[in-house]
Amino acid sequence: MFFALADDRQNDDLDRRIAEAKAKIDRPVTAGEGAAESRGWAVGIEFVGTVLVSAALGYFIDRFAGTKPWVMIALLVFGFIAGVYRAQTTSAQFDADDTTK
Amino acid sequence: MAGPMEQFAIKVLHPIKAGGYDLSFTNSSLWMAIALAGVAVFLFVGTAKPQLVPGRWQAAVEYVYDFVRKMLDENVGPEGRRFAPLIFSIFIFVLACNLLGLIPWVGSFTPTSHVAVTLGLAIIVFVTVCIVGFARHGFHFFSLFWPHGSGVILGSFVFVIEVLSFLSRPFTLAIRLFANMTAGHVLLKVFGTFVVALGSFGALPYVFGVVPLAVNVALTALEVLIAVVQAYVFALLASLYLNDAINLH
Repeated sequence: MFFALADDRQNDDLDRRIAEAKAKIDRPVTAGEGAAESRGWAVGIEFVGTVLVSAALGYFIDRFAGTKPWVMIALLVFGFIAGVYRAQTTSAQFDADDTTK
Repeated sequence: MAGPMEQFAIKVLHPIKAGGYDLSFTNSSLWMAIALAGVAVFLFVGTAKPQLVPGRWQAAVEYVYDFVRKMLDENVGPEGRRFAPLIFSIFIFVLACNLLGLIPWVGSFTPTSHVAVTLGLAIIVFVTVCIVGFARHGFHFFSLFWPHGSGVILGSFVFVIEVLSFLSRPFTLAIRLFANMTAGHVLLKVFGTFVVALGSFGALPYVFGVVPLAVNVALTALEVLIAVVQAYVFALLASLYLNDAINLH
């Protein structure tokens, strides 16, 4: 048991992880952080755009099917849901991409 | 003093009529052509005499290409590499248009500040995603919109939401780039107007005029950053959409 423990400590990468965490905290401010504002806007536009596109789609379906204004109202609600969903997935995807990190 | 929106006016340089369509060569076309020429010079000179240990110019070209390839590798996987030429072309074209539009005094025009251009690029991406999706998966491509193992009621709810978010992609992709470019250029112009207006103000013109001028210098730096980041965001989202079509998440 004791030897197993000693072995574990030798293979443990705690020191490396501490160094990595320190490097993360101590790093200088990068251009990537200036880019964060841009990405924030990108996420916002994702939400607004989805709602607008859904409403426009509903408007045209209404015009051709003569069901004014019900499809537009329904798609406006669904567009809101889809917008929140898209904003969330887009920001998650931005976080996951580390090409620039 | 020109208004802040006048910089986006399309001016016909050489009128061309073809089959009832107006295909005139405009200042927008001119600056897209300049962007293409700039990109061509950058790439051809950089790769004219390739060396094992690259020089500065070759290293710059390789860095830009590697950046796009790495982005595709990480977000799409090995299958994504065959789309590197497409994504790279879009990336470097948008980047060149954005950056060239920021050059002052030469009457530069930013093609990417017009929805016609950005929506055109976004539709190229959208159509590519649809073609790739149907070619690889056939009608199974529609499973992209259907959550795995869900019931009919919840499934159809999610289906509507997924279809809406899929259809809105080209528009949000286009509007994002256009809005960022337009807003940035309007902001620069507005602060430029402040410099003139405050510079001609009272007995101490230089004291008041200097403040908005300093803001404009800082804003120009920010605009260069935004020009690069927006080109990157456009390419990143295009590769994420391709990932959906190839791997059906």
